[in-house]
Formats: sequence, structure tokens, C-alpha cells
Amino acid sequence: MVGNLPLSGDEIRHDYFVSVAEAEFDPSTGRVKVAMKLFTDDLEAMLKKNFDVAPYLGGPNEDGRVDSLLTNYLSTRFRIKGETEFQWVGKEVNPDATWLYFTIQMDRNTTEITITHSVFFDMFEDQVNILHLRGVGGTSSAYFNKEKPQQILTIRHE
Amino acid sequence: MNEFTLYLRLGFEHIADIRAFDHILFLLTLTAIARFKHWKWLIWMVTAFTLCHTLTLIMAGLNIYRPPASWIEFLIPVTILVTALFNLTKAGMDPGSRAKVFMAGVFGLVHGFGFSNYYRMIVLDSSDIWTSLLPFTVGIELGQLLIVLIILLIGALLEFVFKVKPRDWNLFTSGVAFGLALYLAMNNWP
Repeated sequence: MVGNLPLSGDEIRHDYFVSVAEAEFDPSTGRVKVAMKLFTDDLEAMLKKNFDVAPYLGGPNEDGRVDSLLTNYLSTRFRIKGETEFQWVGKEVNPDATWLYFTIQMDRNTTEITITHSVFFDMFEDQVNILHLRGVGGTSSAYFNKEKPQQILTIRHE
Repeated sequence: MNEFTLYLRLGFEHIADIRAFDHILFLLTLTAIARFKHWKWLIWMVTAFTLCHTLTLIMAGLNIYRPPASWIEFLIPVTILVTALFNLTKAGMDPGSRAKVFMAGVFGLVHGFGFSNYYRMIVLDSSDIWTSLLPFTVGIELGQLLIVLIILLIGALLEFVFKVKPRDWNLFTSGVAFGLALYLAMNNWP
């Protein structure tokens, strides 16, 4: 981009609309812990567009409503069939990427989960979301896009 | 789907994605002069490109060295510009040119860093090389082979059906690639 000074190799070029998340199912509690990595500028754009706020993510002037707005957004765009509770845990804002943490309560004996992951599908036509579900028996992964926003993942209990 | 398959797919789609045509354009400028009968030369070229881009992809993927992404996004179109200009020379029109094999290797280093920028966006800190970096790399190789095959098929079709000389096709594609790469380079000026 013109006028974009490279200061270090840590900067991320942003020509692609992708996100990656990791979910972990705890069979003793039935809780799914999710950590999701999104581009910070996309997240800011989404908050501006959907909720008409100037979020200033991670800064001293961050809008006080941000966390509840994110909870609101995520709980409608990241859904698991049969979920009983969505709980916001927190976020970690970096200049490039922001991590969002939340948990979803499921039945303890769940063996198969149907996930709808349509985060940013309202923003970008080409958005792709990747999810790794970690369980005791290994990891299963899924790829979500506008054509296929819902996937079924198996939980390996051992 | 398991993690391995997912990253294999992501690697394949990354290079074969028409929206990310810079790598495709580079392969086109490298191989437009070739026909199926030059397969030995093509193997050398693809191998040089692969070895070098895999080296830098792994270097960056393992955080050994990573140049600023904005430089890489600028240098990728520059590799296309240089190759397109080189195609105007005698060696550039020779489907057996050693200089071009050398260019495939050196410029491959730049493209590998480009692949790594995308790779970094699609992995987690906990991702390991065997279930993500390895399949991603293999996916890129498969995609690359497919692209070269398609380029050869188009070249053969043009030559045998429409009687277009490889030399003319090489010049035509180089001109198109030069224009597009110039535009990309100007837009990605670091």
C-alpha cells in the first residue's frame, strides 16, 4: 500500500479475509472454550457498521460497550446446536490481530457438534473461517465460507 | 476433516486461487515458452522454484527469519516484471535456458516469503509443522503442478489448433504479465 512504512517483519499483510479459531471441549464440564483470532481492523469495521460505534479497540478510549457488542455479535454468528449458555471471557487486542475468548455450554455427553460459524460473512464476500476442535482423542478441523457456514464436527472422548 | 487435509487444501487453493494471480503470473512468464517436449527443462525449473520457496516458507513459518511483508508484496510483482523483460532476450525465448532455471530459484525465495505471510494468518501459535506447515507446502506444490500443466495445455492448444508460435505466445503473455505486474508493484510500493 502506498505510504505504508514497513517497520518490522511482524506486520501482517491483509489481502485475504480469513480467521482461525481453536475450540476445546471439556468432557467433565461440557464446556467448549473458544479462542478466535480476527484481524483487528476487520473487527473495528464490523463494530462501526453494525453498531455505529467508534470502538478504538485496545486503546485508552475504547468504547465501553465493545465487550457486550462483541458478545452480541458472536453469540449470533458462532452457534453450536444445543448450546445452553454463551459466556464472554475476554479479548486481547494487538495491532494486527485480536483474540476473542468465550465459552459455550453444552451437554457433557456431546459426541457431535453442529457449528455455524458465520463471523464476518456479513462483512466480506470472501471471508473464510477455520476452526480446530481439540478433544482428548485428537483434533478435527473445519473450513467455513459463505456457501457452507455450517459444519458437523466429531468430539473424540478418548 | 483432519488438520492435515485442511492445510493441504488451503495450500492448494492459495496458489491456484485466480484472485491471487501473482504466483500464477510468475509461473506463466517462466513457462509460456515451453511445450510438453521440454519436460526435462520444466522439471529443473519447477524443482528450483519449489526448493527455494519451500526454504523461505519454512524459514518464515518457523520464525527463523521474516522480512517485512510489505517488501515481499512489492518484490513479488518485481520478479514477474524482470522475468517478463527477460523473455524479450534470446535466452528468454530459449526453452532450455539455464538462466531461467536460476531465476526460478532466486525469485522462488521471494514467493516463499509471500506464501508464509498467508500461512501466518491461518495458523495458531499451537499449530505444529507436521500437521500444518508440511501439508500447506505440499498443497502449494500440487497447485503449482496443476498450473504448469494448464499452461502447457493452453500452449499446445494454441500451437496445434490455432498455429500460434510458442515465441509469439511467450511475447504476448510477457506483455500482459508486465502490465499487470507493473500495476501490482505500483500498488504495493513499500
